[in-house]
Parts: sequence; C-alpha cells; structure tokens
Amino acid sequence: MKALTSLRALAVLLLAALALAACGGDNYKTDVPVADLQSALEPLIEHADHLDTADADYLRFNFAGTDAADERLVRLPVSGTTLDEYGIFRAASADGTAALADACEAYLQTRNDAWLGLYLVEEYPKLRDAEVKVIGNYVVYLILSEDEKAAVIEKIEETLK
Amino acid sequence: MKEYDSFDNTLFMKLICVMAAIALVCVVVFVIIGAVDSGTQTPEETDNGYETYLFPETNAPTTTAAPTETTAAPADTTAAPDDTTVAHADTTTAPAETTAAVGSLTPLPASSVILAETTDMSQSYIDEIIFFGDSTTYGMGPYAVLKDGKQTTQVWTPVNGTLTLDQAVKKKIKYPETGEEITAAEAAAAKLPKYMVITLGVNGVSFMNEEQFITEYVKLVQSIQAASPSTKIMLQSIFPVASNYEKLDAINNEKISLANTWVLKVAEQCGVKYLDTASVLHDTDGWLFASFQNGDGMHFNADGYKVVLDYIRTHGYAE
Repeated sequence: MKALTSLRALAVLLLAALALAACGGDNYKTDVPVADLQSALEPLIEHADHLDTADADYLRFNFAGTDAADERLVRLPVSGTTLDEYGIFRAASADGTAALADACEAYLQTRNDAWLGLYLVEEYPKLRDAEVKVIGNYVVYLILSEDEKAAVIEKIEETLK
Repeated sequence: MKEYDSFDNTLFMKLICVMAAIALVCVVVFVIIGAVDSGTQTPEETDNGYETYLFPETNAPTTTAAPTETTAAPADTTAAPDDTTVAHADTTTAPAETTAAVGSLTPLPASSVILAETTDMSQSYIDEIIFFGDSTTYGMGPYAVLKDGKQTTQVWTPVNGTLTLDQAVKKKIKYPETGEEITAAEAAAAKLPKYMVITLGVNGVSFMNEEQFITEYVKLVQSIQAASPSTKIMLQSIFPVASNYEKLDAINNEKISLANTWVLKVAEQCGVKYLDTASVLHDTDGWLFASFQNGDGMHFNADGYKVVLDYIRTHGYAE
C-alpha cells in the first residue's frame, strides 16, 4: 500500500514536471548575434559564395518597419546565376516579431510582383515559394530551394537552443 | 510517534498535489491559447514552438519564356537598313486599351546635361563606348550591332542579361575581357573605358519610388566615377515599351517617362551627361515603334538598336 502510494506520487510528480516543461514554451536563446547564425547556416547554401550583404539603403527602402529590430542582416545574390537570398532580423522581444514578419512578407510580395518571368525562370520557384519564419525572437525570410530551406531552419533552431 | 514513512498526510504529499494542480492549470491554459492562436494566425504548421507564415502564391509567370538567349536572340535575320537615318515604319500605331496616351507622359525638362545634336561622331566613336545596362542593353550582343559582332566586348551586363537598379552596385556583370563576374566598378577600374553609356531603370519603375531610384543610381554612377575618373559617362533614357508589352500594369510609358526625369536628375547630380534617345523611339502616342522591338514589346531588334546607335553618334560627348 505504501509502495503504491509512493508510485502514485512519483507518477504525479513526473506528470507535473512534463506539464510544466510543456507550458514553459520556446526555450530559444534571444541574444545570439545574427552573424553567428550567418556563419552557421551559410555552409548549407550551395550558392553562399554568390551572396553579399545588403547595405543600409537597401534595408531602408525595402524593409521599412524593421528599424526597431536589434539586428538586421540581408544577404543578396550578386551573381546573375541564382536567386538565392535570405534575411535574418532579431527582435528585442518576441512581441516585436510580428512587425518584422509583416515587413518580410511585404518585401517578398514586391519581389514577386516585379518578377518579369523572362530570366532565371528555373529559379523562380524559390521566389514564388519563399517563406517567412519566426523562431523565438528571430524572423527569417528564405528564398532558397526546398532542401536548403529545411536545412537552414533546422540549423537556426539548433543554434538557438 | 508519527510515522514519517506514511505519505497519506505528510507535507510532501500535499506539495506534490499542489504542483500537479498547477501543472494541470498550465496545460489547460496552454491548450486554450493554442486554440485561439490557430484561429487568428492560421499557421501552416506549428511545431517546436514556432509559427510558419507560408508566403501565398501570387503572380506566377504567365509565360514560360525560355531564358535570355531566346528573348534577346534575333527575331529575324533580314538585313538592317544600310544607312543610319532614322526610320520608323508606322507613325499611326494605335495604343492598346491601356494607358500611355501622350497626355499622361511626363515631359523631360530642359537641362544643360542633355547631349545636344552634333555632327556624326562616326563609327570609331561608337567603338570606344562601353554599354552597361540591363536586358535592353544585353541584346546588342546577340544582334551583333557593335564591333566584333556577337563577340563584342563592349556590352556589360550580368550573366543572365538582366539588372535591377536597386542591386546594381553590388550585382556582378560578366566582364567580357576575361569572362569573370565582377562589379561594374571593378570592370571600370580594369578597363578604364573612354566612354560609357549606362541604360538602367526599366525593371525598377514597377516598384521603386523617386528617392530610392535616384539614391541607388547615384551610388552606382559614383562607384564607377571613383573607379575610373576619366571615363565620360552618359546616362541613357529608359526606352519606351510597345503597346503589345504584356506587363503594362507594372511597366508602362507613363512610369518610364517619369523615371527618365529621375535619370536626368541623377545625371545633373553626378555631373555626367544624359542621352535623350527615347525621343526618337516612340510614336505620337508614346509607344515604342513596333518595328524596333523583337516581339515582346520591350526588347529591341537590330533595327531598333541601329536607331539607338545613330542617335548616340549624332549626339556626341564632346572632348
């Protein structure tokens, strides 16, 4: 009887621990520099050597509404052979991610609207299927192949845990 | 004496019960929050605590045009005019059902940087010019309108033949001397061309405002000036589009004529010249002459390029 009671208590304790862990929500780090994420994920991008960092003007004109982000990084394709591109924005808190995500979506919409459909046609699915993801305090947009997107997201999550 | 090994009424048991109750409450609250969130944000998936905003499909290309070599390749091989006089086949082209009526075009203001008419500078003048730009420049190669024909080294464009102004400073061109991909400024530093005609902006008119357009164009010109200070730079007007162009909602002559006033401002700000080539390319309704284009309403054929070159020869950049 005593043993059964002990077991029951232990089970309840385990349940409580599990439930609290579930209720704990995301446990992503919030202070990983964007440059560290860049270093972690770019080896996963085939055409990473064709990317260059967008300057302040590019961010100002194309990502209005992201000024409040703690850090911003946009990597653009500089070769005429690929559309590969991505951006990482770190919000001060999880509350700030919605605005950053909206800005990224608006940017992708503009890019798609401006697509003339004549050049790099084989690359267009990357732009058409571009994704915006929120991971903790970080907002990422990805214009990459499906495989690279999955690998990059996994790497970011891993780096932030 | 109390039996401490009995759990029925110990403090420890009570503590466990309290923790379990708290945990249960947390679970319930979490489930409720998750149900509410899924109703407002419609994430495609929720996994490991993040939400996915899948970008909705928008404008898939309505054409499945082949890459540049078919859009810029010669549409016909009939002989171009032997003389260099301006020739246009149809001056009464009716506009399509969309805009681009003359009244909606923005006139170009007078400016001292607009290259005025001169005597014919001759072919040797053209031979010394580097033509740097987007797809409307790229076609000069396949149409063999420059020295060395299809093997000309006078055309600087990215490998895929297109270039948008907002990325022009860092975007790499295919440097024809070596075949390597380098920026326009790096190419200018290597080549030190005597003259350069830059034709950019048609891709940007669909989404760039005046401030962005001018800012990026000025940066580009200044980067080339820094790399090759002695190069005489001419900013060429954006060419008009024809009435059969498929994306007139995005790029049309109303936007192009306005953007050309911005190009003029860039020329004034940077101390370079402006070529108003567009002035000889359109009919009375503002449309690109149908006989100058390769069929898609935007890109030129050999006839169109010869008119462009004739204008450049007769509006020379004086020493």
